[in-house]
Amino acid sequence: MAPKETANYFGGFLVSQGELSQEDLDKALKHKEEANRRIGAHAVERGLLAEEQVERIIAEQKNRDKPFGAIALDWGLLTQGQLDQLLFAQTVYSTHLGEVLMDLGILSPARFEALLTEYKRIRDQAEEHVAQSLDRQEDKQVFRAVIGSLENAFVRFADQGLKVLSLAEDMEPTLFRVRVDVRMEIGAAEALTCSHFLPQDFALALAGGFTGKEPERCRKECLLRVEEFFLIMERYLASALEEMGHEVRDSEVRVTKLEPMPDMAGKTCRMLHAVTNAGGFGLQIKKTRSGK
Amino acid sequence: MTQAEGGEQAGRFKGVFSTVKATYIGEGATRRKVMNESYYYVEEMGEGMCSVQALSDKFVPTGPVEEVEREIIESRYVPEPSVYSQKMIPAVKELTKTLAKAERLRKQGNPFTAEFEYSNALKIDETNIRATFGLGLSLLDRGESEKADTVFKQLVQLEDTFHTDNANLFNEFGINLRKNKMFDQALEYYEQAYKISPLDEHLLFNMARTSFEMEDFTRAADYTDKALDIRGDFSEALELQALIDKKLAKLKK
Repeated sequence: MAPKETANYFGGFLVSQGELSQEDLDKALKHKEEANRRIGAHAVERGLLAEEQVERIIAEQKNRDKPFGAIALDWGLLTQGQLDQLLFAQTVYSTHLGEVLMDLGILSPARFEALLTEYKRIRDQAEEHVAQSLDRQEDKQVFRAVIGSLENAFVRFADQGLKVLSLAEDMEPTLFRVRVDVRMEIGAAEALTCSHFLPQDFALALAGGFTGKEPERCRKECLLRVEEFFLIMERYLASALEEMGHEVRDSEVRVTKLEPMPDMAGKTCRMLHAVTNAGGFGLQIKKTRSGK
Repeated sequence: MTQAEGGEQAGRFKGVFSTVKATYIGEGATRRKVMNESYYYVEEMGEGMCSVQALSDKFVPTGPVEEVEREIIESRYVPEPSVYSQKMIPAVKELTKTLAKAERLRKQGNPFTAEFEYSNALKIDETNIRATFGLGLSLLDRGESEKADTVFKQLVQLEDTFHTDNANLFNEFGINLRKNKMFDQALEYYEQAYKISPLDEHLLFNMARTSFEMEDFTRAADYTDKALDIRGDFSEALELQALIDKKLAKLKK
């Protein structure tokens, strides 16, 4: 049996358990965001970098997709020892949601530890369930890479640790609204296509970054946000496949609005129902001979 | 100078003193002199010498302890009794209380809340060795190896890490690095300590055991031999040596 669908992150879990209100959670998250300073801020505070240098590094980060510290080292602005000190300061001064909740007097330390243990138990159970689902797939390594890339992209895109809770073969008839194909040419003669079939509510939530502030309808901007998410996922997937020894020669993301909305559950193709904390979608992974 | 600025023990003074030091900032035409007032915790040691330790911005003694002649203290430092009683003493009490709470929480098996308290202690004194060990151990308790690595790097920088006063924490941290399969870090950690205590057979044994788990049996054999050179009847090392010999023989086949 699939595990109970739980909230996607610890804060959501606490709300779903009635331990705190959405309002309290928003307040705590705001506190947390204000308290957690980036490494650049620590460097300025300690006189290791000037604000202008921090801004230049951040601008470079957007081009190079490299961590702040790595660029500062490359440019000779920080030594490894100084970077280690800053990373340590970041560890010491980082604030967790739980810490904020205790500071605000919303949770007692004992209650917090008990809830965290329960949350971890449910999460572990979900992971175990996904692992079992993956074991049933023919090409479980590829499936694992796809799931991992989706989860990493969730974090990167929405700054939230969304998880895939289960992969079920018995998908209920679902009306899909958006189809996203991530296609990769791998090796000399193979192509991998991951097709994601998104129901309207999932597509809207994804476009809104799972903040609860989703757009009202699946308009052009919504599709662009969905595409943005899958472009991130594509990069993670390419890197995961390369780590597995596959050469990724080319890749593309194609987003299609489905109208009229077909009910594709288990009819024309074998599709899995990927259940995440933020809702479910259809997932199909096919390996074919290369050649568009 | 009065006998006791902040406190007095057996006729010796202790307290907070300040001194002004000139530093230069900027370069070329913009270079200018800035006078900085720094606070120190001073304790008379006897024979005309005093121990001097800088106060952090939170008024807790931190960093290395230096020995300075009493005469120099008297001529160049200014006593600051109110800083001692109103700032340093409360800050040290707060630090002690926070550390005790953190240690209690960790013993009770609450690594998350212990981590918060150790972090709070480090916010008061960033180089506090007990808090640094504690934070690292709490992170290792819950398998947060990436964050634990930042603590490990801080620990190998701090001189006091390898002080015998911290032997229990030192050993526990090394064991936990190994349990978390952070073998490279565990080995580097023990190697730093080995530079200070080259005749410690337990350190060599720990290095051998870590190398063994890394399946570097040749290196493990080397460390075991060195441990046994120091103490020939070291039973755990003898057992490990037998195990390594078996592994090496198997590899040769």
